[in-house]
Amino acid sequence: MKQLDIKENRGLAAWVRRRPGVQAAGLLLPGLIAFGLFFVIPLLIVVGVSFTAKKAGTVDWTHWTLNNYVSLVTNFAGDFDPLYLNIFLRSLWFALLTTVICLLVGYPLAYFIARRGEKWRAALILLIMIPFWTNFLVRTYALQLIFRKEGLLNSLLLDGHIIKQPLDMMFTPGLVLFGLVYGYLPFMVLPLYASIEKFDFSLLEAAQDLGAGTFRTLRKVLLPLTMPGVVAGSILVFIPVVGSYVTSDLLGAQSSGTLMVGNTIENQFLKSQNWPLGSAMSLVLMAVVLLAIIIYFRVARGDKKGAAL
Amino acid sequence: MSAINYNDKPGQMNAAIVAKEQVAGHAQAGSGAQAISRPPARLALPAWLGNLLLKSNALVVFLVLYLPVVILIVFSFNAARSGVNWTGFSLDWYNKLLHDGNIGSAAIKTLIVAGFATAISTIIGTMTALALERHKFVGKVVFEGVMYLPIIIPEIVMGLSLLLFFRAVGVDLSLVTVIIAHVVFCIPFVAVIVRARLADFDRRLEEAAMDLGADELATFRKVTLPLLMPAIIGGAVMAFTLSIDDVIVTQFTAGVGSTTLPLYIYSQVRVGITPVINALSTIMLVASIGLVLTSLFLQRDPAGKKVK
Amino acid sequence: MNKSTEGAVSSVELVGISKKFGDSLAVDNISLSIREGEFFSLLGPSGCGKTTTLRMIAGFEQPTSGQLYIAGQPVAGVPAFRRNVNTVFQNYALFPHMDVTDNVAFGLEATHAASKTEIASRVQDALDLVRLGNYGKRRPRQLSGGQQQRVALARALVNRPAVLLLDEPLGALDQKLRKEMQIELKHLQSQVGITFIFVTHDQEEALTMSDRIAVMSNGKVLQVDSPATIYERPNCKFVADFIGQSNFFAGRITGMDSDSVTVAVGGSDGGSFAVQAPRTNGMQAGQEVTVAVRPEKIGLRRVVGSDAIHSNGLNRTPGRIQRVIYMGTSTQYVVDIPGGSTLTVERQNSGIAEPNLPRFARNTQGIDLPGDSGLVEHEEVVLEWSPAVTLLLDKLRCRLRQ
Repeated sequence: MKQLDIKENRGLAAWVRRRPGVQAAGLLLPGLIAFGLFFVIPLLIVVGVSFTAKKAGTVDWTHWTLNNYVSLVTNFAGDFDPLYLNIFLRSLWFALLTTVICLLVGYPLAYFIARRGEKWRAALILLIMIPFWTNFLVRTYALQLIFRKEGLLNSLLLDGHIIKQPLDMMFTPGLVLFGLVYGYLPFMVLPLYASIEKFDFSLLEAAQDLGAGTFRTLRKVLLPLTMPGVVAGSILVFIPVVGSYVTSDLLGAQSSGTLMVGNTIENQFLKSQNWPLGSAMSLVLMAVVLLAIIIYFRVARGDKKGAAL
Repeated sequence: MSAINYNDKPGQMNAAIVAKEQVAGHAQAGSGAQAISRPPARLALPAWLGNLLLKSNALVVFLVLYLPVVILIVFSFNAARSGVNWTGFSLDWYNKLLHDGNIGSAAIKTLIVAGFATAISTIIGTMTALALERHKFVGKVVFEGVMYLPIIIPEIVMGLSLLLFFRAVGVDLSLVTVIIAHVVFCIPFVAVIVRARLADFDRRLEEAAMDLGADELATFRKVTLPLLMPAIIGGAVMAFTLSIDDVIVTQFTAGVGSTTLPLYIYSQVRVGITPVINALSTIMLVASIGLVLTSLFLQRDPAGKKVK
Repeated sequence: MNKSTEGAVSSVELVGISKKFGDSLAVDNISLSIREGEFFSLLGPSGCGKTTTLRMIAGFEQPTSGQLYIAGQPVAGVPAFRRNVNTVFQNYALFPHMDVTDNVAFGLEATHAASKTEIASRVQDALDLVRLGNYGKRRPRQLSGGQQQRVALARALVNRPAVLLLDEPLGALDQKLRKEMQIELKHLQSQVGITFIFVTHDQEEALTMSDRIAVMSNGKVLQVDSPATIYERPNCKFVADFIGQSNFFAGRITGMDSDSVTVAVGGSDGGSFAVQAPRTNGMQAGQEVTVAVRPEKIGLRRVVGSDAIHSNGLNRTPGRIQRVIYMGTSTQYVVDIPGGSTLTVERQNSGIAEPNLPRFARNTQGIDLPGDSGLVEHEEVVLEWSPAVTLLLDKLRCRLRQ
């Protein structure tokens, strides 16, 4: 028989045991430090810098100005200049198109995979993921190989006498869009798949038994119940695309039709060394992104707080 | 003798049934000789067509997805330096790859960064997941929101914010700053994955362990941790993959001499490439596949259930 | 040290235990004294607080107020892993990542209770005890529900606890397996001699297995007694209704003599009749009471001429059969009686001929059914029962007798 030890009620272990708050604090501390120090504070600094004047390669904390924000919508003469506005709009537009295309292509794909037997499902998901594990740059570069003037597609078409002149596909918005869809499709498919996989397919049979046609069934039964996946996937595609610059850099070379916000910010920071302007742009970008999320949540989920993430 | 409550429920039911039949009879008589009338034909995709569309969509997607990758691999063996003509099988480029000092050092740096970032973010991410899933505290919602932000914030903003931060604090950019940056954006992914598993976790098992005499630490060691391990490994693999692949954040936080592999490739791809890059990509792809297969193996649930 | 009235050391003692969750009171000031070696059940509907009480004994919850003693020692604040108490969980809670042997050995290893060899032999003994001696290498997912439950038992018993707590362990098993396990558990308990505290909502289970039962409702203990006493002498309407079936009437005491009382049982339409019941302490003339009689205590027969004159000392009322429900071992009759209420009577289908009942019944195929009384709907009958089995219950309160 064990002797019950009343001493257990005293001592450090018992003290900690009685205080779940202390336990929580202990577990949170590293995360708190990591995030507070290396995430929140840097973001606050960005806010601050956006209001300072340009000083190459460093921050001038003594000069405060709203110029950076003003110059986003004006040119040197002080007149309204839609330059940056256009870039923003284009980024939003690209992101929207990418999201929609990924959705249109990815949803049937996710559905297809979810309907297979268990072994097939795992294998197919693995197959989707493998291109994802090739380096992003490298994949995009592979697209260059195909679509360049002297690239694969052109050679095939020329050799097959389908065209006489090589097509100039590089550095076009269409190619950039294709590259974006190509790069971000897995981000759409995986959340969609996770959501569809949980779906009770007998509901579809019930709907058809009750007389609903295919489209009504999809619209009123499948789609609403897989909405969390749609929302999650859309967010995981839309936001990175808005701020991306690698794809537009490699496939668009920052030509006038393909320049995105990300490229501009990168230029300001790394080339022009105009940190304040870059910061101002970043903040506007973040604001736009947050706005887009809020709007999206309202529309897609009808005012319910989304727990998709 | 006694007034018995004649609550004739059966009788009432009978009457109702008879009435219904009469109504139905009238309806039948009115609609003519048809015994059962079908509703108007609904617009339905025949099953075979629907399946065909799904299959073809999947096929096209897979082809398009893999074509560039396959081309990449194939051309890494192409003897020609550039262009798309196949001039012969050659392992030259792999040879050059192995002897390329730049790539070698970049690879090592990448692995160092990924190793540290994975280890640190996995530990912190798991602790954070435990705290969030099992405790209530002041400001929890805010903390959760902040913690999930790196997932949805554009990477470029994260990168430049850290650049400014390090400058402001006076710290030089180096591999350490890169590691710090990677840790920050990896933690949320680890936390999400571990949290999902924690939510499904049967707390009765921990109670049973304590009931049998194991204190909190022993219970965590012998019961909680082993059952959580698949999720922790999954999170670690996720973190590792993100770290190896990262370009944007790394670009902003790497100092001179902290060139990781993605940065190196980026610089080369912008300038002009040799098929050495193809060879490198092929090796990286094979390595990634190997890594993931290993992790799937490690992720086998000790309880014997299949891993999703 | 706390002792029960018999002078034996109580195994578990609760004194004024209450448990609050936020605003709701799950356990309301209960006191229990559980004797060593007894099979004690906590019985009640879902939400009555029985599981919470068990968890407080186990150490997973701390009481909001009151004192708890195990084997005479106070255990307030002592965490679960230091109490000499083990639990068999409702869903068994076997560790899925360990095989059966490691599961059973877990407690011994965690507390460093014995050497490796001794642990191995004790584990084997425990598995033999539950007749799973050859299953050591299996994993929980490879076992059936009944086998998992026996592993959970072995895992708990191998530690030789002072008290074994069982939280509705048979709930997930099918009917036949349940009955088998009930017998096994009872047998095990007498073999091992440990105090068992058993939580269940199944009154039949509690009646079959327990030495004593505590009936709980809404966080309170209503009655603690042996199964027979609980069944034959329920304290209050809830207990009489929860355990078995009862017929209830509202009535008023109209007369009392030295050992019996007369109660007027009123009907909704004015008619009434009188019943006799034994007199107990605290009864007063004019008091409103609830009369309770169990269905199997009531006999029924056809009317006989001498009824009008002759009273044979039994409580009696005429009636008309409303419904006949055949249940295999017995038949239930729902009988309308004067006053607008109904009595449920249960009669065993023994097939033995009784006076004033038709000999056999004949079914629609013309076959004789010897168990059937032959009484049919709308027949006029006479119901009789002994005053001794007529229970008078306080309308509002349950008096706790220990």
